[in-house]
Amino acid sequence: MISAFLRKLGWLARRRQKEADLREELEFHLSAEADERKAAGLSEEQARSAARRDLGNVVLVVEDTRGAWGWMRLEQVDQDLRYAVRTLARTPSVTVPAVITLALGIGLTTAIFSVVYGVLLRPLPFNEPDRLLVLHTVRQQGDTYDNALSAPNFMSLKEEESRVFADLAGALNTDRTLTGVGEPRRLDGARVSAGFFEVLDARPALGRTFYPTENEPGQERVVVLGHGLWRQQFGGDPSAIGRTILLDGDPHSVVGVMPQGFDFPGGRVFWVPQPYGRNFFSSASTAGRRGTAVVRVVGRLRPGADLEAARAELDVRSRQLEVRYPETNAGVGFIAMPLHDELVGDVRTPIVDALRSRRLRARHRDRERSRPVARPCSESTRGDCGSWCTRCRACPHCPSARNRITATGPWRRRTRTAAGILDERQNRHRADGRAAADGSG
Amino acid sequence: MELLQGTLDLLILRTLLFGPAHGHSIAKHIQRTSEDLLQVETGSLYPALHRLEARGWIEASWERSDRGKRAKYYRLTRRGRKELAAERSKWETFSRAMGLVLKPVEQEP
Repeated sequence: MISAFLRKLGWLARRRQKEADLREELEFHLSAEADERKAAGLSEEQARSAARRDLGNVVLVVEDTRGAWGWMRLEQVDQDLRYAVRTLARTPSVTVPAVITLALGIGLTTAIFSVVYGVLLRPLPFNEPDRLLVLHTVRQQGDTYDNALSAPNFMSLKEEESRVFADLAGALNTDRTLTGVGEPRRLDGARVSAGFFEVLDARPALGRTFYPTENEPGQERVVVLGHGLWRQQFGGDPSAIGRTILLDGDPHSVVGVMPQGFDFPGGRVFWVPQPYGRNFFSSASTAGRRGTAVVRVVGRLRPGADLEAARAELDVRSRQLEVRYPETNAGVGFIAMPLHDELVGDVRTPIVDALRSRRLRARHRDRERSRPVARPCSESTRGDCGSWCTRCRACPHCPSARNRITATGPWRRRTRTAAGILDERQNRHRADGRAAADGSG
Repeated sequence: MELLQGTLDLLILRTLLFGPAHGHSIAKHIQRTSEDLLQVETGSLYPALHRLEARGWIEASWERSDRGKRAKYYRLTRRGRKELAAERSKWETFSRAMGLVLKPVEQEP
């Protein structure tokens, strides 16, 4: 089957030769036939015409034989195409707009699709990426957030047993100079915690990722390369595994190569284990401070756990840390966002929303609950203390307090809302207005 | 007498069993051995030869003929030999069956 196909392909290539051969073959047939007739006693002329008659319509014979070569159909398609091109060329007023329309249409669709695919549809190079969450630090003060956690906060969360996270992994962007092969190059990489690749469930294309022990201080230096770097530096040679490269002058042995498309946490071309003991960084360094959010943290949800559960648990955790480290963690919370949103979507808005709705409400609640017993309203703050002061029932100056004397039980106070406060103020103004009207009247 | 559809291939293969031959001599051989009963049309001989070549049952090469001219000689390939055996037994079965059906009706006693 295949050999027949190849033979025909070969014929297609030597087509002119083949045509000439056929003509020669038929010519030979004619002369052989004529010779035979001559031998039977006919004249040269008669023999020739008799042979020709015997052969019949030569054009038809040639045509039929060509048909046996098996690429008649191809030839017909070719003819049709030529005809189509000629026709189109004859009517440029129709052809040109049609071609431009098609070109623009196809080009635009392709362009849009490649963007949409690249940004939204292309699967992340991890297993079950929808179960991956990225942790952010949110600060009540100034409504700010970082897409990272401080190293000590990360370690505090990682070391605590969690019901929603199977594990947390941290990565810290870093850059090193590659020397020893060609021109020195500045490379973007990441220092990663133990379990980094396991949390992402990203398998190497070649070799292995890191052993947990490789994050212990004093281990031999190892590195995992990105696909692109491996192609550039080693020409895609699998024997790169086990070779040594110099990063910032230190020899690192290459243990693995990640598949194409893996560059987490974004634009990284190599990964090295961060050596750490109890602290991710020395607590003496700036990066090691609890207040400095530098570690990108990603967590994998346990089966059955969801985003809501993760956020609830992080709320509890952040409050515990607030109590334990009030100096750095007061007003600091953590919020989880789906990794996919992180990479493709607008994260700011949902974070701010989530921040407002959950954290601030919880904070206000706590504030109100823990506020020391009434700072009595003075003449000067009269009326203004209404929004926070909840215990000044005894205060004779505060109109809101007077209103609240009729409130039922402590829970009522805790659920005070901004709308409620506005109502109270409005009532007060109305009452004042009425009093003024009474006075004038 | 006209050839039955599909029998030309078998005749060509059978003829080539004697050794390489060019188109003209194949036609003459079939004519002679069938005692001039079978006439091979040139219009169907060459397409058939080229078809068999395309299938790989026969192969061709240009050689000097006995009259000193260049001629295209066909010879059986190993596959062609196998096909010939298969075609031939098919044909024998077929003609026996035809014979059985067409034999003169015996007089009822």
